[in-house]
Amino acid sequence: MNKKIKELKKKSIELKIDVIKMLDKAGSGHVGGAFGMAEIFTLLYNEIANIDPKKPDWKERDYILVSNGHICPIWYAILANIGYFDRKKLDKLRKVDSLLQGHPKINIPGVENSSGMLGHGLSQAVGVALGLKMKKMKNKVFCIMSDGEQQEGQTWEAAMSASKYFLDNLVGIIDYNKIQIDGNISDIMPLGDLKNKYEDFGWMVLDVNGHNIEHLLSCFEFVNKIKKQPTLIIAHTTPGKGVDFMENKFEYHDWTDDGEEVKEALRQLRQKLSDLY
Amino acid sequence: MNKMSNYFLRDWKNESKLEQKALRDGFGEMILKLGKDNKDIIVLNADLPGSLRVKKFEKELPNQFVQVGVAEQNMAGIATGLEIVGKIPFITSFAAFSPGLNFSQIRLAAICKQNIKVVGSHYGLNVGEDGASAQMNSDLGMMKSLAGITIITPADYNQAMQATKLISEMKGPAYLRVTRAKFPVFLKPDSEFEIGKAQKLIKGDDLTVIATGSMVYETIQALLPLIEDGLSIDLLNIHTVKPLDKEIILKSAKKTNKVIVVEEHNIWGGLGESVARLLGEKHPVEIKCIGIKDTFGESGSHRDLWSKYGLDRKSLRKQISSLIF
Repeated sequence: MNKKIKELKKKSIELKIDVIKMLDKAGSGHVGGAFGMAEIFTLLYNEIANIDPKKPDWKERDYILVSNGHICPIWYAILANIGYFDRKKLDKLRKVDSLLQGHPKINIPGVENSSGMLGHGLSQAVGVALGLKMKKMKNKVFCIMSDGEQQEGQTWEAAMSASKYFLDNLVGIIDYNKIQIDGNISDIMPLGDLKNKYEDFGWMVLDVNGHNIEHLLSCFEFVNKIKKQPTLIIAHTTPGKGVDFMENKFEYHDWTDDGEEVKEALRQLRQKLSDLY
Repeated sequence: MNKMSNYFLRDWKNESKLEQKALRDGFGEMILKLGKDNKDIIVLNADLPGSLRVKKFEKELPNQFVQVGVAEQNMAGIATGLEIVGKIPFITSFAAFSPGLNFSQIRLAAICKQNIKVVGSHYGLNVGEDGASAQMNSDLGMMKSLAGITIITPADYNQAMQATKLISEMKGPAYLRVTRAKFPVFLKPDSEFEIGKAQKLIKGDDLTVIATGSMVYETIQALLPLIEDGLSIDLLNIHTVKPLDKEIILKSAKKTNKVIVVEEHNIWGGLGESVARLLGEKHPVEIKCIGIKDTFGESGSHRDLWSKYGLDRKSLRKQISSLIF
């Protein structure tokens, strides 16, 4: 493993540790999806997107939108980690008067879109990408979505409009972890062949292992070459990745703990972190 | 004694001398003018550019026009995204579809006071022949419940033009409701118009009559014979349903102690409820809310429907008379 990959890997585990501590203090929150996307958030904010945490309103920045806002603990953790706001704010997640709401709002530095109702984010991202095209600006727009919200009709309205307007500045990323709040996607409402569906809607679609940093890096590199159509990255992920009793369990989509699980989760994550040193 | 305001055009009493224009035309004409002056103004439409009178906008300003197809939820979501990069998006469709179908998307934008403008046409029974599903009589109730939103329901074509301009200049979410049907143009195009400030069209002492949108001119016609018979009336045009001009309503109610509210909306959730709550809390008086009595409409001509559902001038006059005599 080269040094850069190792550093990114370490950072993604540190973020998970932050998330466990945040959720422990908050008393509730969504952990499964947050853990599954730790590597992707780490990569986007450290390697891929053109951003400056000191200037959240910088006009040349790339826009990172999150449609499945319930995974915000990992979003808040990375934003604090790279300096969008003070880390102390993480302790107040979901508390009254806190900047960090249970679902993201655009007044939080670094947060580009409000969410909390699934299926809205891709439309918002289309709006941002279209607005940038109107202004003849080159910024990229990333939109993270869940697989569960592909069940929302609005997602497909948005997918259609992205290819109508040739939004090659738009990159959708689906966290394809195959669970949703009440069970497995295949039981609740099967999605069929997502890749084919998006291709039929005019998108370039890439499949990738969402935890493999090397593959993700080359995938994002390839995205820059796509012209005249939007790109979708289907990131195959393991929900709860990194803590054995959480992995692939829809019961850990959201989580309220008795205290024992926190200790065990932290132990496992710290072990993984020290293995990298 | 009644004192007539200077809001009126010269022939305001004589309907046959007034031009008849749809309120949606006022929106269409003004948004084109605004769009030409400000390239950040974007019109989004869901397959109804003709009905919303934005065909000319689409033709003359194609780079500021977004046609989303029959997808009102996506339209509102895209508007939210455009706002993030500094545009001033106007989402336009029938009120039954927007906000009818995309309330949740508008609500999400309103949570952070995002600067999006919702223009809903075809409200009320005056939609006519298309029937109940097209006649939106619930939009005020829905939109009123969103914290911090501005809601304007202009009384004529000229006022629809003024309202369009003002909501484009203000920051924050706004809802403008306009009509398909034509109504007399009776207000001066340059009359004083401020968001949140009602217009006192007629000043009197015995009775407060509050009207909004499509019902303002019909109410005037209902009142004129009563005024000639000596009734002294305070007539308020509440063009801004939210924020409500509490001051002018309270002042008038304290003077007259009798209030009538007239609107083309379900009496559940409409302006009447807002006025009743205000007066109930601050100055309880005798009040009558005239509107659509918790029912849905049906197919028919605008005038036939108004007559059947008690919103034509004759029915209004009868209901007003029953309160005062």
